[in-house]
Amino acid sequence: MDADTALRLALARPESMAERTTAEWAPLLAAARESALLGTLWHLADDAGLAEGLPEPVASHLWGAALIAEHRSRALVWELHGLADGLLSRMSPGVVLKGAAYLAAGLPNARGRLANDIDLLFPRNEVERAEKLLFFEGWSGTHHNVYDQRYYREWMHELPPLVHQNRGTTLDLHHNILPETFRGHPDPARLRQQSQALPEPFRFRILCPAHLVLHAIVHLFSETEWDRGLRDLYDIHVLLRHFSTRDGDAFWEHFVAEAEALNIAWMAERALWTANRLLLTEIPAEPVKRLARARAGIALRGLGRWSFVHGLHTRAGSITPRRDAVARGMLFLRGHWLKMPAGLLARHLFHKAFLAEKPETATAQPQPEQHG
Amino acid sequence: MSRRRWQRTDGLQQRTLGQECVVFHPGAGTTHLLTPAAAALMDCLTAGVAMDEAELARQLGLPADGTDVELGRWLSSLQSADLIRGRH
Amino acid sequence: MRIADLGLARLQQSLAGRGLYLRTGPFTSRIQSPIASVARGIESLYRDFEVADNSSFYDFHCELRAPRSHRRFYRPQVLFLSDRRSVFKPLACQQAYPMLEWGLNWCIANQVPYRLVLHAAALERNGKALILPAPPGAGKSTLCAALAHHGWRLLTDESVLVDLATNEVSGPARPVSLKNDSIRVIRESCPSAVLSTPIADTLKGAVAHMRPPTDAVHRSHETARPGWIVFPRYRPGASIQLKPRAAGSGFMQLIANAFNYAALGTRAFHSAGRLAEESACFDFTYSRLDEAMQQFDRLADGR
Repeated sequence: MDADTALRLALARPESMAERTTAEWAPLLAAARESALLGTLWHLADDAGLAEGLPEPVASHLWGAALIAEHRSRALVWELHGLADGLLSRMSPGVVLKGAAYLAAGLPNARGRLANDIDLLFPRNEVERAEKLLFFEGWSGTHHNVYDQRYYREWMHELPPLVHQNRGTTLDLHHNILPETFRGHPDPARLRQQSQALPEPFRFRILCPAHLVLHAIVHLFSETEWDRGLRDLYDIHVLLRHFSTRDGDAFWEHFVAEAEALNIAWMAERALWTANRLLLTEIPAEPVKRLARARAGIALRGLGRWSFVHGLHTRAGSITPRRDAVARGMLFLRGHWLKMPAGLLARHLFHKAFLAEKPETATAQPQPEQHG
Repeated sequence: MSRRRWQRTDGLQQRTLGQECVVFHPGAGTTHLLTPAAAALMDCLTAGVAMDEAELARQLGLPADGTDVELGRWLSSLQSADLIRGRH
Repeated sequence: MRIADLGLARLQQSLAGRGLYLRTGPFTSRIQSPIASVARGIESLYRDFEVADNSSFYDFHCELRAPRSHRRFYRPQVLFLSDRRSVFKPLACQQAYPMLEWGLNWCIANQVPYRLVLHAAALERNGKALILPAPPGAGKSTLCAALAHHGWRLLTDESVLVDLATNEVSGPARPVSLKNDSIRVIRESCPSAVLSTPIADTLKGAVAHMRPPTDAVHRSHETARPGWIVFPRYRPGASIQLKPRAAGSGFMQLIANAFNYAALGTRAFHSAGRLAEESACFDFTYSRLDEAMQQFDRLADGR
């Protein structure tokens, strides 16, 4: 079995890991490493009672990745406590989003997950006040040039990322879950109104279940880069399963209604199809039927689905690298097209291509001699 | 002497190496090599119990007058490393 | 089967095809490359290492090849890919072999989360490990190469592996990297050492690699208990000096040289702490290699 198929199967049906041969494990681990899912696989194997039976080097790699995720999570929770107790306590509580939210709420996808940064949602007219307060606690901006500032502050749904001076943690302050210029603009007040208090001692809030999943969907299906896409799809898969098991039809009812109210039913439709197709997520007939109205026309539907499937292949494990590259190119264009009106998009891509300083391309790859 | 009460940060990892003491702060991800004085001060603070400065000075065997400057310096350096927290 | 039994033709065939599965201590690396100098380098420096068959598990997947661009025609370059992704800036093609060594070091530094990985050399004697952490230029590799021919078993020149639970010390026993003047020094002081032809004009100057002694390769699965942590410093003309160092500051220096200390957090803290506790820490200044060897003999004998 090819590595990508084996990885998706491991996520969907953890007991399938028992069937992997030694020869299949190495490329499977490479694909999981690329998708930041090694730590997740460890917990899935452990829960399925397979950890003891794994080949020794496989168990070592998975266990080690889970250790790193555990340490990162602990640091992130500590950071959240510090934020809650600090100057932000002068404002009404913000809403924690994404990885930090899964962690704080103890959701099942949090275990083994490598959470990277903290995302907080505030009302638009308060987000810059939060930024100012955080400055006094050592958080400062990284994007200093005029174009980037304008790009974020005028067009995006978040401020330029903040980084903690001593610890290097990244903090994103959001006022919405999609850019201002995005085609179909959700109303952020709705997200905040339905948000729920996190269990003590956190002073932050978390999105309601339907919004939590919809945000995970929006995050992946509006992306230009699908590099860690499989991890994001796995979040969607686990959250859907968790809330539908817990709340049954009531969850699905609310999920569809909110997808429509936030103008993102079309993204939800694509996400449910993809999760079911790739991770065998169980989705009842009713929501599928109701979201079918939001489907693309037959020609675009096929092309879209083809690019989601190929875009979610890994570089390390794929057996169709050329088709994946085409799909990644299409998803890149699609993401930008959704993000901005055509005129603005042309301007933005022109700036990135010809005018922007390119620190990433020049310095991201280290000199090999540093390792010898 | 200040009336602040001091408490050690939860979850700190500590090891004694010979005459010295090293502390790891799992949240901040920082590691500190403590001076003997700072280590003695940390030893006075039991997890979960806040202590005021007069009591700290007494436990460390510092005379009650004229030493608050030095104690204050140790406390503030431990606080800036997030190893202890002071509350009024 | 070992590299020596394979022969250059079959070695080249493996490298150009599905890959050579090379065992180095606890790791298996799958290496693919059509580049002739890579095959020649492996043939000479990894002569005693074991080859695993193509259905084995591998820890690292490395590939060395030219970038897919027009440049390959007028100034050929080489890329190092790990899991099919390029991880470094490209180098001139004649540096392909050292790039393989640097790339394998990168893999160990970045893809072994289940051990504490120290940027240091290590050798073993009487079951005890001597760890030499040092910044570049401190003479760590020169010392390591010389000690490997002077009664010490080479564990590693670059990446020390510490078991997080038991604190057993091990290494992949791979070739030792030598730079500039240390190439001449090792040729002169260790006549039995086998060195690759130096490659000039790398960013570090001239670079050559030393083949690990056969015994070290055959015993690369044997771990060692922590013994000594010595911070070496080469200073021309200096007289030899071995000075005990307080365990606390030794510990701080040790973690500054760990690749994955920050990522592993608490476990790495305690692992490094136990390592510093169980070892004797020293600062070591030297200028003459023969004097240094005698000093390490005395250290091993407890004199």
